[in-house]
Amino acid sequence: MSETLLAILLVTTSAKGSTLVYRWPPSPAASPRFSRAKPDVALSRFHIDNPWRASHPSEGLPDFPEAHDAEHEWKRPARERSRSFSSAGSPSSSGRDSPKDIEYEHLFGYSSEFLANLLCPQRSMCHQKFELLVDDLAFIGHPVSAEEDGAWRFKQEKPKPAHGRGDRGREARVRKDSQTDRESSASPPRPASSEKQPATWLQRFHFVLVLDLPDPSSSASGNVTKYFDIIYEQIAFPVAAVLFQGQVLSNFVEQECDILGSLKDSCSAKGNEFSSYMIQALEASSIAPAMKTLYEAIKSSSVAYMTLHDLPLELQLPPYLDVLLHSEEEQEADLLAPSDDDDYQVWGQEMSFGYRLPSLTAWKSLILLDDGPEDVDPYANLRTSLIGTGDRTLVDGLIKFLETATMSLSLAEMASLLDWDLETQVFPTVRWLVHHRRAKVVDMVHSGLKTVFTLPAQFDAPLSELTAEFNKQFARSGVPPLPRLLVAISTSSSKENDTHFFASVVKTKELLPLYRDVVLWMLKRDMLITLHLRIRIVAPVHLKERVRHARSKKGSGRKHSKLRNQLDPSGEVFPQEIAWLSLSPKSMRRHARLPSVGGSRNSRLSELILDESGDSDSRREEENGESQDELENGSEDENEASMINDPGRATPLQRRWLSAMSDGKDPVIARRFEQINQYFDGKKTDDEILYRADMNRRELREVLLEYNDYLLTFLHPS
Amino acid sequence: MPSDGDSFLPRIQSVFYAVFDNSLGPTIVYQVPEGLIAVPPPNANTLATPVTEQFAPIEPPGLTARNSSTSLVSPSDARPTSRSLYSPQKRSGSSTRFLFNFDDISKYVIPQSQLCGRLVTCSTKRHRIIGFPVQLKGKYQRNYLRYNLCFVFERGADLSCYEPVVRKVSRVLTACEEESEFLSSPNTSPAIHAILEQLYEDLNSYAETSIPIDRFNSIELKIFPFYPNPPPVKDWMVPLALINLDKRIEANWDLTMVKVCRHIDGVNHVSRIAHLADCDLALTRLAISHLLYYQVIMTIDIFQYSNMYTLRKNIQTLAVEADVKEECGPYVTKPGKPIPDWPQLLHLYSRLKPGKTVLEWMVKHEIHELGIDVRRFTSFGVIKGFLRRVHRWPVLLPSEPGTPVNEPKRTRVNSLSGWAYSPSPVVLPVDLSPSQILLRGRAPQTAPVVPSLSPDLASPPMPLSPRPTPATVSAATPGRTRRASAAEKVLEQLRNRDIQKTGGSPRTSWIQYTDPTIGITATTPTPQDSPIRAVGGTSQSRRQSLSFLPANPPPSPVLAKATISATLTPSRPTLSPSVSTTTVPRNGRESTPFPKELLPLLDGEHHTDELAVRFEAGWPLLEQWLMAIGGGEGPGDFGRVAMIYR
Repeated sequence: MSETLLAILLVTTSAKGSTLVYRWPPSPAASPRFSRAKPDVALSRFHIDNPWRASHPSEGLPDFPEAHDAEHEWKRPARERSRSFSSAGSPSSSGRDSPKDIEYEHLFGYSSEFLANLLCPQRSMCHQKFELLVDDLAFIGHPVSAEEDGAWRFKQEKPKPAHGRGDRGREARVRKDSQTDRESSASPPRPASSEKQPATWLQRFHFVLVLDLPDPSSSASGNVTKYFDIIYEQIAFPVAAVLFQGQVLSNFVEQECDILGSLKDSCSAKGNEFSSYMIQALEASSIAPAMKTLYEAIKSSSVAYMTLHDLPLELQLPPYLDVLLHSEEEQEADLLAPSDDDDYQVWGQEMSFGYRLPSLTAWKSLILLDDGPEDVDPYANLRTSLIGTGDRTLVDGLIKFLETATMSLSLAEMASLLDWDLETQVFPTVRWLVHHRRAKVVDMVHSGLKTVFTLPAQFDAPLSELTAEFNKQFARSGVPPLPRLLVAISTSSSKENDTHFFASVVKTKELLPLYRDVVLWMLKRDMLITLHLRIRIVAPVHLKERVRHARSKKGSGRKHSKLRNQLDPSGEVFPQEIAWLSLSPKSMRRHARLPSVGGSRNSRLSELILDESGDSDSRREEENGESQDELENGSEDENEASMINDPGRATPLQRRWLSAMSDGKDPVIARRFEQINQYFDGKKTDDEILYRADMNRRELREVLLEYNDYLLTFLHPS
Repeated sequence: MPSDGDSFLPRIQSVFYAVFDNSLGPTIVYQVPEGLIAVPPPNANTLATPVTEQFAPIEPPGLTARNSSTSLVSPSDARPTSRSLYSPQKRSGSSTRFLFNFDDISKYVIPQSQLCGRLVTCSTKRHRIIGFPVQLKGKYQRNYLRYNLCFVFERGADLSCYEPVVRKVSRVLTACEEESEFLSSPNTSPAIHAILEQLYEDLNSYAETSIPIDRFNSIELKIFPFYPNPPPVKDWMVPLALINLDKRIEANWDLTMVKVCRHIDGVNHVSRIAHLADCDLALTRLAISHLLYYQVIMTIDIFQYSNMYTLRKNIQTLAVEADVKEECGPYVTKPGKPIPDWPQLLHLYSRLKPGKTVLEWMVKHEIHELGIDVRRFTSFGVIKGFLRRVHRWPVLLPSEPGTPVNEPKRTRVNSLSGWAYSPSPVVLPVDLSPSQILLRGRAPQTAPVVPSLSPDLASPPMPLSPRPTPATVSAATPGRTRRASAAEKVLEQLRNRDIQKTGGSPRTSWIQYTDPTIGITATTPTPQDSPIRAVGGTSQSRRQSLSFLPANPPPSPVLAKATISATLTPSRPTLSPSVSTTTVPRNGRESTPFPKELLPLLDGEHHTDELAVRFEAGWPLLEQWLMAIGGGEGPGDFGRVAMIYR
């Protein structure tokens, strides 16, 4: 929702001057501002007559009804705005027009002609982002103009047809696509378009969004700028682009302006109410209803489905855009935190901000949101819109995709079920669905609901509302009321075992289908957070000692060797190590000076050449370089437990610890541990580990149980 | 708070002064630095100095003194200017060395009269121009004078901090013009160029300036860095100083602020601070909010042993962060105890879960043997941001048919019923935790605390003897006008005792092991509460064993100094039996009365910290109330009150 949007305007410039062609809503008004802080009612009593209070300490405060304050609160007089600083000359007060004329001719306290003139910049300022702030109003748009000779055509010199800027949005792609369609179907368009418009009166037009300038002090520095940028990119620019294209190809905007202009004149001449003009305009033109749709969609924070010049457009602002304008509660900081680069790439630029999307990965799953704007059947709308494209197989495939998607099926599984490619087919489809708010990416839910959930710190709606809604849906099915359910969920994770949803809430298999619906219902409303298991590996002191002991024993056997940097030939447990501890400090330092991985190999070789056993393979040499820093700080580590932060890139010493952990364990499980311990970095979720290692949950559990002493487990949301 | 805005002030690229010229229309008269804004070549003589001749040094009489300072700064200024010259060059070939063409924006700089008197910001491709166009009526050729002094910034600059500056400059110039035709008179108007220079140099270099214009007017400017508004301060928030506030306090500070600052120690919540400092709650909130605005404090939650915590997502990155790892151990361990290693601490953090109170967690993991100060342990996680408090959100469910409302179903009253709020003289379990008392903050100063209570406190058998009846309490606190409840009275005594115990001095030496690197300056010696309060619903035997827990921090030096310390600490183990005896006569009692105003608040939108602070009742008492409201069956069962943890 863009709480700040006040109005949408379309202004044009011709040789006769600038006109405000259409606006929506009919009579927008800016919210009042105070030039100084509004007195806080709660504190107002401190400002009263302190001497009196001091002399009457026992009487406490006199009755100061709050209404008293409200009464005396300053209210902005109706037309105060136009009578500004240098008051004279403001036409709204000077004209003394009939109220009707004021409606026709004035907007935000300015005359519409003045406003139109203000918003139609010089030609040199066209075809670029427009931003004008006047006190508490912000005007944002993308003015476009005809060429010098008065003809409308795409800029030839630029590689991209329209503006060459910001051609990243999906809408821009739509525009380009449809454009190429047209271009391919019709004759070569550019010369044609310039030829077929012998004389246009329209010189420039500008589709402007008027925003109430947000209070900058309520948000972090720079956020307001970013906010405007996003509105520009997502709304103002695409609409301007489509209108421009329509104008270039078929003089669309000018025709629309003619219609609207003559309608306005006739209505005004007939003395019709302004509102009736606005209504007639909605029927007469196609830009007018589009502006209305757009305005209403933005205000209601939904997707605007509009048609401009027979081109369907779907525009929306990121659902969490307005968060930018408020200093968030602490919890939200997490959500706003810049997502990983990966996410950015997977979701694409336009969805990277303000959508609060979880990362799109193969081990997530998809739930469909059925509360689409139009109809009950979530697919019907899609079907009709897609069938038009004529690509039968695509439609069928998509329908099948939608039918397959459930919360307990990961995207990877879906891909294999449908025989689609994950990266090139599944992800784009998911992106499309999510962007159109038809679906939502969630963490995979176990089909038996054996997933551990927790509650978010905040719900999107008051609990009472949610409860009522929940009752409507589930009251008859015997599910306990929502608060009870929430209690059960929120206490579940503290239990020793059986923390998952099935054990704490469902309890019997018969109720599974019902509770699947319940979980789905809650997931759609962001009321459940899946807790994920993350694992870290700890090398305790006794393990380190054991390793050291084992090593020194081995090392002592070789003490007599003349060469100090002896490789360990017998290493079936630690096959890749070098007898570092027996190195003299000097040679160690020499090693330490070497660059680490893949460094200059020759210099190392010069030492290794002395190696008697001669079984140094390249792999071992690589290790040599790596292990030095760990030897340096490893020595202090020896006496206390430490974490192996990234087992996937463990140093040789850490690798020794890792393998020592498997001493005396079941070899099957030990092999499994070896296989998956690279994922135990505290960042990978259990779902991800299972997906990557291609394992099932039971096997993972066995490993965790067996290696319990060396593992730290964390349960927290992602 | 998200990206704590760049405190770097945006750099002024250019300052220019434009007027509506009678023959040329909007014209730039002076700009500093020269020639950055492209203007159409001057082809007619105007009253204004043509742009190309701007350097003609015209020294107005009153400005010589000031100019010396200008010349001082100017060398430093040359470099940035040239830099700003180059950047546009790289990108656009056409408008080589100009920031932009004045023609493009002239209609926003010298606009029609409707826009005059408004702050106007317009943008070009790479720049943002902010100005405050003014139109003055008078004996001018066209009957009006329109002018504007504009500042040019980079496109992405955040101009919030410059808005007042622009307004003020314009206001002062207007005053000068109205008084002495400073702008329109050819004698004085050249001085504007010098003003521009000084604005440009001083604001960019020092973020402040003082430019005397004539005998009466001067431009005094200071640019304040921009901070976003802080989130609203709630009564149950606990402010925690991020700098040493004591050192910053100055004599001319606001009195409330000084009083409030003294009680910011990372333990006291806002409501309690208000009472401790004897300040009005609203003003206290305002003071805290002010400190928050300057980002010198942060807020955490009230520490209680009944709290619950859970890990947040960023544990996955913070767990390996070196400073977290290194600071944690020394900060959370009591002095003189061995510092547990990080994996162990991390393990302990990972066992904090919603639904499990800190006390239960302590028992399970034998925290007392590790020498960990639990309050510091949890607050460390909260401060670093990987731990989050899980609040209890009670919801009163509509009564189901067949369930009697508010009728106590239990005949057996658990040991805690001694906590009950009751109008009759209450026999108090002795081990009332300090934090409850902390929670119900009433200004300690209102009651003559120490004298009245010290005899009581001094007597070792105190815990076993029945607590004074309300009558004695009121006697002990003669000055009070309002008696809220019996529970309050009871708590009052205990609070007094608490005050005695803490000796009124929030700083004691066991804080001194504060790790300075964490930047937390304040801590307190007393735990927020003792084990017993969290035990709320646990069995008697459990409780007894718990009462031996050294859950309290090691006796503080202050405690040792206080006369009562000897009696208090050892008496604790003997308390448990006494509690059980006190409960005996209560068996079969009616349900606990509770304030009626509590009911509408049980809608799942108010957590228990909020309720506790609002009703001045600690969690054990609140728990009793909720059990009574819901008709619950004892520990953990709140009947119709659903307790959601989130």
